[in-house]
Amino acid sequence: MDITSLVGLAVLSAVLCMIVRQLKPEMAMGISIACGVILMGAVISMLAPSVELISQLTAAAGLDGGYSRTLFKALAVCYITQLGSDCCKDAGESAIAGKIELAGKAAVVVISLPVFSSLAEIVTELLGSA
Amino acid sequence: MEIDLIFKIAAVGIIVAVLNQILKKTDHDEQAMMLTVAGLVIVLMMIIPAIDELFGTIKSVFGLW
Repeated sequence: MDITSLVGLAVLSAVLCMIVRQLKPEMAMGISIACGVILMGAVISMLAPSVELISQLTAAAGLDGGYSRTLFKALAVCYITQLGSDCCKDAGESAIAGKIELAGKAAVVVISLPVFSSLAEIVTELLGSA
Repeated sequence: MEIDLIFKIAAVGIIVAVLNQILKKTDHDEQAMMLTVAGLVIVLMMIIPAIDELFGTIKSVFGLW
């Protein structure tokens, strides 16, 4: 999907949301969730080549591929969390949105634990050799 | 093809709202409520495959799991 169709979809969904919200507010939320999911899917598909390029560049630079994989996993968790939290905020449940964000932070920390432990290993190695 | 989903949900919302008002005017309040719930379930059933598709895309693009 190119950018013009994405913008058209977003504006059209906003107008439909406005019309339907006066009749049935919960259906308006359905429209906004569907629009958000479709837009997000299109954006992620657009990002796919750049993710591949970054992985290739990391491999070409001789870095460990695990680091870029960790980075992309954390990014994916952030996108999913943001989507869920925004939907909850739209529904007026900011408490649930806050919990989802907390869960996302915990998931990112868990994903990046191997990087932390390898950093600690390097530091202890340097301190031991000095 | 994806824009169809938005139109479908909006159509369900408008139809449910109209039928709801008809039922309320004819003193069928419980049936109006059931209609609202049914409409909501239909909309959720439409959205869930889209969410599943999105999560599949994210998993395959970012190598999650």
